[in-house]
This record gives sequence, structure tokens and C-alpha cells, in this order.
Amino acid sequence: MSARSRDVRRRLLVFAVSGAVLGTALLAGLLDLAPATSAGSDLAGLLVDAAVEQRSPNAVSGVLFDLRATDTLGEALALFAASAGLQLVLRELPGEGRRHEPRRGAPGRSVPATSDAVRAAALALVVPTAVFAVYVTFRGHLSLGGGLQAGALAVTALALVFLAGRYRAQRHFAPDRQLDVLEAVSLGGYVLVGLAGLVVAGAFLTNVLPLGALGELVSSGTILALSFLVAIEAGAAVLLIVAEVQEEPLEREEPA
Amino acid sequence: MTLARILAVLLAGVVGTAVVMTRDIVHQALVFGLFGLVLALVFLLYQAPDAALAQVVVSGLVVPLLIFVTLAELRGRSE
Repeated sequence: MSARSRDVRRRLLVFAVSGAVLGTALLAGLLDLAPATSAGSDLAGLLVDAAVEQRSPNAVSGVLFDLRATDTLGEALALFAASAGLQLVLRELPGEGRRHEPRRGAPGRSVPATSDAVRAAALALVVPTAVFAVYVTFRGHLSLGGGLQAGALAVTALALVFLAGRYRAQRHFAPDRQLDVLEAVSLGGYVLVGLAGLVVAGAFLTNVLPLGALGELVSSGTILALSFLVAIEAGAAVLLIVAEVQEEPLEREEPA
Repeated sequence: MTLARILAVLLAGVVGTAVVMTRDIVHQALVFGLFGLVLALVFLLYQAPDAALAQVVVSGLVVPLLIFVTLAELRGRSE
């Protein structure tokens, strides 16, 4: 028996054992699972009551930005740490200079020009996507959407600019320095809203703003405020991550 | 609805297997993006459209982009 087929057999053995364990665990979990739609359950009733009390018809936002607002702060911090860490790892080292001409893909590979159809379709979608991002930001407490999704949509709008072959325009609309500031200010704002709750009501992230009427655009107190701040923070963090990895092969010279 | 859900979950299984079976890493990144879109469809059918929206961006855009950039950089160094 050759070394290669022994290697394959060993791998198959590892796969069989781990697959059997994972499969058993998955099956046991599936058998224990509650039905997918259980509108009549106790939990659903509690969530509806909480949504009415918070003036946030979208119960998901109510959970994310009120009941579990501390978790959401942790998630926002994780995004912040990811973008900060990537910037640290990919920073310009001494001896590395900026490339004068952007490299077109991997060396020895010619990059085909972006087709007109892709360009036109991407550019046509930029403005609707950006408007949709703003719409989703301010509807998070009323209906589907909210902070993270709105941030993701904002990233999509700028990715479309990039897809249309307008790398410089994309960097012009979203310069790193401003993104850095936006990211830090929005995350700091989240903590400040939380501290306001601590001072006024005695607990971190308590909803202290006026709640307003159920279903109004400006209602639900801090849920809307926190959703807006997370939209900015998530959008800026992901854009910074994307910009940092775009810049790496495009503009950096190998150390000599 | 139930039929659509079953089909979507089965499709996720098929595309997920395709990701593992793809040998070329550039092709694999593309198939992985497709797998992310199928997962987004599953989320949508299980009434989590907001999670689906985030999934499309993360799996369809950010992860393949990171892989492509890393590959371009590694191939640039080896040549």
C-alpha cells in the first residue's frame, strides 16, 4: 500500500468518527427542537407584550436594542475590534512604500475589462441601495431592518461603486479617516446612551428617552437611537475592513 | 411554504457539499459565495429576512473579497 492511499484512509477514518459524533449530536438536537412557527407559544405572547410596552412593533429590534442591548454593544465592539485589528496587521511597515501604479490582480494574470452591462447595472443600483439603507435605518423599530442590516446595505452601495470599476470614487465617498471617526463616535455614542440610562434610571442601557406613540416614525425611545448608532458603526467597520484589504494588493510595495 | 423550505434546506446541503468538493481555491471562493446566498434564502423562508440581508453582504461580498485579496497577495509573493 502506498503512502498516499494510507493517508487517504487515515483521513476517511477521522471523517467517519467526527461525522458520526456530529451527526448524532445534530439528530438529538433536531428531535428536541420546537416547531419552526409557534405563534401561540408563551414566548410569542411575552414578546408581543414587550413590543407594545417599548412602542417597537418589530420585536426583534426590541430584543436587540433594549432587552439585550448589552449583547448588541458587545457585538458592535467585536466589529470595532476586527477593523482595528486588521488595520494594525496590514499597516504600512518601515521599508514598505506605496505603489505608484495599482497592481491589476495577481502578477502574470491579465484582468479582463469590466463589461458595460456590469458597469451600468452597478451604477444604476447605487442610489436606490443607498436610499434603501437610510430607509431601513429609520424603520428598524417599526418593521424589518435596523442597525446591522442598514450598515450592511450601506456597504453594498459602496461595493457597487467598486464593482462599476470606480475604485477611486469609492475611496472618495468613504475616506478612511472619516470612517475611523464615524466608527469611534457612533460606538462612543452607544455607550453614552447606556450611561444616560445608568444615571437617570439606575441601570445601564435603560430606555430613558420619550417612547412616543406605537407605530410613529420617531418613537420607541432609545431603540431607534441605538439602532441608528449601530447602523453607522457597522457600516463604517465593514467598509474599513473592505478598504484595508483592497488597499493591500493595490497600493503597497514589498519591503526591499 | 413547507415544500419551499425543504427544497431550500436540501439545496443548501447540495451547494455546501459542492463547496467541499471544489478543488480549485478560486472556484471554491465563488461557490462559497453561492452557498451564502442559498443560506440567505433559507433564512428568508424561515421568516428571518433581516438575518438574510446581513448574510448576503457578509457571505456574498466580504468573505470572498478577503479570500481573493489574500490569494492575489500570496501568488504575488511566490512569483
